[in-house]
Amino acid sequence: MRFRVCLLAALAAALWLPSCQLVETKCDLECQDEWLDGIKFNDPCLDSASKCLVSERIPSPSDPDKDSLRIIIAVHGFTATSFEWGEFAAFASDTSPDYPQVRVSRVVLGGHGRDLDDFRSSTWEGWGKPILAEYDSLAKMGFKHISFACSSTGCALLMQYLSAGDFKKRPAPEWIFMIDPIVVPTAKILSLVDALGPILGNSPNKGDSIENQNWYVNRPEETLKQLYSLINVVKNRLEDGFRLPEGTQAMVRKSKHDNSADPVGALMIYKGMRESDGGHVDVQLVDSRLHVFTRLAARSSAPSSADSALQLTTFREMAERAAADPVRD
Amino acid sequence: MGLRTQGVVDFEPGQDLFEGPEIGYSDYNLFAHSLQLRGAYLTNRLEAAFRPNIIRQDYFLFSPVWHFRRNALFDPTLQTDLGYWRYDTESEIFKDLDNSSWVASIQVGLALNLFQGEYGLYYHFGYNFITPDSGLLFPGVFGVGFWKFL
Repeated sequence: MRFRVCLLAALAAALWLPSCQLVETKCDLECQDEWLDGIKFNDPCLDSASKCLVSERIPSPSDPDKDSLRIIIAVHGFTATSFEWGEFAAFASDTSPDYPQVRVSRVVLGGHGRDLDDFRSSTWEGWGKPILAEYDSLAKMGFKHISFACSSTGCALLMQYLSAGDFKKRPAPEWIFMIDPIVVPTAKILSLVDALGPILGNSPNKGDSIENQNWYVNRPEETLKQLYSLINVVKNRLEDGFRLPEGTQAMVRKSKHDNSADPVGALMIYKGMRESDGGHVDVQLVDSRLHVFTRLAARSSAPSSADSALQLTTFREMAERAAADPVRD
Repeated sequence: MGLRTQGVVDFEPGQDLFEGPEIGYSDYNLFAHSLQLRGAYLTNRLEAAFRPNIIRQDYFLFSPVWHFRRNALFDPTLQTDLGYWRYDTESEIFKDLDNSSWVASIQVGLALNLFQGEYGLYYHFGYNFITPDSGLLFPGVFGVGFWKFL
């Protein structure tokens, strides 16, 4: 009798556990309507009328513009959208009196900013295509001063291109500004995603309502596999070592405490990514607990005054370096 | 006395491997040689001499190993690795990084006892329970080794 009771209890538990997961999944799907994951919200920069890309905003640049404008292509991270660089774009807006020659071109990574099905079926190779597409468009239009700003996975994509020699047949970018690049994940369990993916499953990351409309809440197993595959490629390339193209400089800023990108990645970049003459790139650890510390908008907790000061300092540093163009001028 | 190599299980190409000497002790009075106590120093410093961009890391491990069939050719094993891990930060820029951690893993494996156990080969893999937010300790771990009885 006792055995039967135990058996029934075990059966009930076995049936109850999956049903909980189904309820959770169903809730996620319902909630998606208010999230970026659903079809209601997309990254506004996907609409060409938004003019987020400089190649769309200035389709026919004058000769002085080609020579004088400093274009910074801003590349966001995993699950994010162009929102991540919105504050920098506002800082260096076309009407900014402090940096009148700086223009920010915000790209949307492939598979990002759309809906969950697009994200799930995307690959890291596809994520990076819009970066080079915008770079090639700007170079073809005749702009002479093009730089990159990237955050997190955006930096991993750029390092992949730099190490693979994708800029050998292109004009070299002037600056690569890296904010919290990811090489090693903070959550080390990601290293087992290929084996434990079905067990780990989706890992939803709910934020406040604005975050939910600008970052995918759901992180399907397939996308985590792509992410780990990309950062493993980058880690191996850094361990082999590579040099930036001649004329390209890099500035790397990494939060000391980061719940997404392990700060040890900054050391790997310091050792593995060298300037064209073999010198070390400019790397600094900054006192922050935020991942992508330059994005303060739509954080669940209000940023501190130190966070705001760090953001402003970093934006100024980036704009001044891009504007000064020390290598070629 | 033996040589041991250890690495990370992540099912991706490219691998960080750590090699080094290992000494072991077992006794007939200690569960009839079924329990073996090993100590190892593992490092990638030899590899770093040829690949200067890798981060130099060291492991100091104490590994009690239980041999299930000590007198047989195929000898399943269960072991724990307890110890300490560290890496070189190399530059003042990174002095604030926490560059060390304790290690605690449990691993299953298979040893081949050759020539009445005078020589042996072993393989083991398992799970590392301590994976600090900042560091290069990952949950999946494996090792291979060779020993000769002295």
